[in-house]
Amino acid sequence: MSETVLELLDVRAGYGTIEVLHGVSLAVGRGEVLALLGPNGGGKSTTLKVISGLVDIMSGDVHLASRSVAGVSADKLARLGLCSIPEGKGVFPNLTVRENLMMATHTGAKLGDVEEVAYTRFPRLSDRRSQLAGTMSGGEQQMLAMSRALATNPAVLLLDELSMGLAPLVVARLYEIVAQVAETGVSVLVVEQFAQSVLGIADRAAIMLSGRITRVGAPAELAEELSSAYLGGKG
Amino acid sequence: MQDFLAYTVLGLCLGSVYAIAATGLVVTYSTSGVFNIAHGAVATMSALFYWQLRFDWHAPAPIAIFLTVCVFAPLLGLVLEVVVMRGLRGTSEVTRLVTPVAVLLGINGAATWIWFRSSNRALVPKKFFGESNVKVLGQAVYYHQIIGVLLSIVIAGALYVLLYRTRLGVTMRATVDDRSLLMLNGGRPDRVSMASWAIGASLAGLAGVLLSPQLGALQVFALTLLVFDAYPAAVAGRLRSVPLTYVGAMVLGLSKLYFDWISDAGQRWLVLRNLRNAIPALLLFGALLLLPQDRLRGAIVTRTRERFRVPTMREAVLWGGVLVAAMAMLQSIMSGSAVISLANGVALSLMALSLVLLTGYAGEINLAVFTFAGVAVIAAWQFDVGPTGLATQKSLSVGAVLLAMCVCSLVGGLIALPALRLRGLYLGLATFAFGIIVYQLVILQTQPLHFNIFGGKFTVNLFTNGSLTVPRPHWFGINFAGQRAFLMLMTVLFAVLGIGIIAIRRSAYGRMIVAMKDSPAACATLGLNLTRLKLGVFMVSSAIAGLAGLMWAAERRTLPNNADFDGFQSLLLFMIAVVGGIGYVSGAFIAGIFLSVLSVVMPDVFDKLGSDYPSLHWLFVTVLGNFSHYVGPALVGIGLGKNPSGIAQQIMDGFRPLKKAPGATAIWVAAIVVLWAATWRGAVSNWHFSLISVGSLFIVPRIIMSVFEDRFAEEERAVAGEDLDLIGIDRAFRSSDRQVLDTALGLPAGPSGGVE
Amino acid sequence: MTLLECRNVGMKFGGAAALTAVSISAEAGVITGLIGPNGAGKTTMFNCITGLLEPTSGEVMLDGADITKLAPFRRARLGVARTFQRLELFTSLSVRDNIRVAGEIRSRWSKDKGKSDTQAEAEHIIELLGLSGLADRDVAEIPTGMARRVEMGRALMTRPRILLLDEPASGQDEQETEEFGELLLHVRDEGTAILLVEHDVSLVMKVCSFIQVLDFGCLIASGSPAEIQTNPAVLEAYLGEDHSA
Repeated sequence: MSETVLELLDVRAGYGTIEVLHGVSLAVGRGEVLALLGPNGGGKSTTLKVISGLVDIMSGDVHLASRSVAGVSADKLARLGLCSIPEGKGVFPNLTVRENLMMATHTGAKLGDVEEVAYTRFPRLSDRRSQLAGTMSGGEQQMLAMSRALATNPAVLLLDELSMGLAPLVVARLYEIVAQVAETGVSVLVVEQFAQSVLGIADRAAIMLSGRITRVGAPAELAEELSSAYLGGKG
Repeated sequence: MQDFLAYTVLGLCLGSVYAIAATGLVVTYSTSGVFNIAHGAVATMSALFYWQLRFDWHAPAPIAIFLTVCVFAPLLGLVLEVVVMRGLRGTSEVTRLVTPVAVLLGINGAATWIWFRSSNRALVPKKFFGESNVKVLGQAVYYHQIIGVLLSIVIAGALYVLLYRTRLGVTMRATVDDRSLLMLNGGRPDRVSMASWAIGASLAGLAGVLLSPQLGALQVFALTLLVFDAYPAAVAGRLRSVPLTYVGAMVLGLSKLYFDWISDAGQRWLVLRNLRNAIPALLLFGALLLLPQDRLRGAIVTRTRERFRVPTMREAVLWGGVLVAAMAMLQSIMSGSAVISLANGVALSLMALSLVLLTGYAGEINLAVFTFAGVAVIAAWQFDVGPTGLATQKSLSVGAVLLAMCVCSLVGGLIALPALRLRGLYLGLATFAFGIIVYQLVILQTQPLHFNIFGGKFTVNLFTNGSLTVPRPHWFGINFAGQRAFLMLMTVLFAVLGIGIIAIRRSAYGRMIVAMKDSPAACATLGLNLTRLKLGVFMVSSAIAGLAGLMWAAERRTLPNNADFDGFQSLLLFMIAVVGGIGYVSGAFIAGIFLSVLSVVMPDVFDKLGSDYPSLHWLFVTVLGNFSHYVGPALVGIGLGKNPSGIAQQIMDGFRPLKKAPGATAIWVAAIVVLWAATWRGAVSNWHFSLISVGSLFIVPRIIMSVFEDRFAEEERAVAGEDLDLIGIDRAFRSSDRQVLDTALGLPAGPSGGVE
Repeated sequence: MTLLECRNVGMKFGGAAALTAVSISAEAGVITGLIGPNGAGKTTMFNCITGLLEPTSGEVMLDGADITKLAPFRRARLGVARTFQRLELFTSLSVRDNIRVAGEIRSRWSKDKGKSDTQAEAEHIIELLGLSGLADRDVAEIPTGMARRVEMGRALMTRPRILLLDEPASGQDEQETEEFGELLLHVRDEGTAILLVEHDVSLVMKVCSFIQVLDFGCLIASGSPAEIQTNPAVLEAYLGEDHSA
């Protein structure tokens, strides 16, 4: 594995007094796609929220490019190059497509350039540039969220349940783009409840159960275990 | 027809200015979730600032307007956001409503202090271009009005461009949509909030300058009320939509002017001559009722930082007894004037008590408590009325009290019924509007109303001479007419009602009320009819407010109809009740005393100090006295964001050490009693008694803390020892935990090297 | 006997359909499972059944009577109780009072008004749910798994005919989940039907006699646990499109 860009060191975190993550350690290398898998309620989304600064950690540390970023606010992290698409609501529903893309221009990028890249990548968006994002289909919304995220040239991309509620073809197309982005050196951490869609592009996968990482390994090794984790001992 | 067109033109002119004011309200609410009641105060302050520049210092109008609208007002908005509003995140709706009330009172107090402290000079604002006008459809329209219309159009356009064409504006809308997503995208919501408060304040400033010539001479609260008139327009826009707000503003302006037209400028129906002033409140009430039904809230929405502990019945009865005993001792050594301010305070405490049940327990808001006092007085008079009215009665009869409570309860139910489907803030605004309507149409009404119902003639007597005299009771063979006796009556009443309210809270009914506040959705799925329960709470609380209001009126003896019912007193009382601790009966007591102490006693104390030390007169009287009088009440409210559970909670926390040292506490109490006895006998002056006893309240718990330090440290260690494994899990890790862990693991306590 | 029946229930939020003509049912005296991936519409279904949402189309029938238009509290009085995936506890009250107040609410509307001893009943339920040790704690400070049990106890206090449980086991560890399964069977044997939404599929397989699977707001399968475990559509929904391997 090449240089580590994002690292979690024995992180404990939760909501109020209730601990959800019981000591999670993870590392994502430069240009690597790591899939974080497991059933709902296992703490996957909380892990992402911890990394993106929306949930404070109770103990442990988070390193971004070897610097401790525990306690740094979410907006600062975003400007440091850590970009995330939260589960199911990656767009501002009452803003148009264009205005959503405008939210990515805080890095100094020109709106015109951002739009051009987005529309080339997802031609469907160019027809909808003045449409309110909330009225588009789920797939288009994820395309928009992805476009906006990538326009900021992030170093790390966090994706939460990208496939939720989407048709398999759309999911495949989105993950194809994720793979391309990773090629350019972006580290990607993908959270998915349902494994198959992401295993194809992941370099490594980790399984999370009840707030702990139970296995890390190559996707092929884990495929069998996953079935039992979801459907209860069927193998 | 000619008249109709002329009035339409004027109505649209007025509507334009309302639109500017209301839009500012919408801009701040939609980005920060705070309904800025202080909007009117910002407008007032700005209008005064403009007057200062333009008419006192004779600056040219363009410069004055620029400095006011583009520099002064936005700065005021910025300061408010950074210093006050930012702390409100994660607090309850009640706190977010009350803090701007404090700001309003603070700004108005400051304005009064700066411009109206000493001389009774008239601050006369003039229209832009004086009386110059043009004829539009046969109606003379001032240039000033035309400027207002033009500005409102320009502002509408500018806001559109800002919100839809600029990054800042789009970010503002993005904040409303999804604050955390914005942060994940590198946006800075804090900066956005600052910008929106600056813009909102700037619009308030402009509206203030444009509206102020309507008043012959500037007056702080009158001008604030003038801006309040624009609030219905913002509600029509559901506090979010700028276009709908414009429509609302036009409806508002036109209704006022059309009323002038059909009523011949108020000459036609004398009974309704105050209706014009009530139009905005009526429209506000109407607009609120037309709001769509809210979906049932869940706990996620209502989860807040406030936490209230419930005393046991034993504690309640014990403290009720202590209160009555302490009051009896205290009043026996106090001077007559001190007893008066104390009685005033206890009367206000009684009023605040109704809010403990309604707001503290049930989470509903009533911003018209004093209106219920007015209604209670009127109702009592109908019962006790003799040939010459209530004043001739020797005693307030029990029947009158019961009638007043029943009427208040019914009135409370009546306003609550349509408003029940409204949520916190909107319900609060509805009660506020109701208060204004009753004030304008009933309380300011001096003619008796005659009704013909079923052939019988009924007469309802209102504040016939502009004031009503309420006699004090003569019950159980005791005459409570004397100040001290009446003080004791109110104290006993407070203790009894307070114990009753705690009993309610501890009953099944009380648990249901609290459950309803915590999660309406869960209650509904358990089979609870929320509407009925809410209605019941509103009615009980209104009855208490009525009883308290009657006592408050009897304490005042003569009640003028124009002083306390215009809405501000109710706002102030609500604010102070929240500051005192809205979830505690003791909080209500603290609130009443506090209000009386701050507005009466503190200035008196500073006056005394000023005359005792003439060389420091300027400091005590000019600065501190005025400050505590004008700005003091507001300051305590502004700090609420930091400690939303209120003063009562803080005091209880402060006295917790006493429980661990019962011996020392007993000695302290005994010392106070001895001191009281000495004062009673005249050996110690009551000035020194209050100084020492009040001072010891602050000092003794600290002394006990430091003397019995070991005992507390031990206890803390025991607590920490219980859950050594859970440190950092059950609660956040503190640096002090390291020591505890080190001790437990038998490590030497080294210097804290390597820790950050 | 079919106790609860949803016929062609559809729910739209703006343009997005959360449920499309879903027909599910629950029999009296058994535990029925309702499973499906995240965002499949299970909680929306619960909201439609309990009246927190009014479905845009379709009917909800309880014991043959149409309850689609009834207010939430009326449905509760007819015997529909639920827990919430995102906890809806009364945070000002202790664990005991959370459960007790539900009984007190019930005694306001039930026919045997005042005759039942809600306090004793609450103690019984606290013990049944294994909450005795936590009864005096604030609900805000107990772990999620236990908080879910408090919600269940609260719902049981209304003596429901059918209990809708929304992910009751999440936040409970393996040991606790094991016990919880036994508890569900006990509640069933006492005569309360259960409709169970749960992500812990092994629990669902163990306690349910009939399972219905939602995906993208549509019913994609129903049958016995054994049938569901081998149903290709279910495997596809859970594991992605090509689980033929």
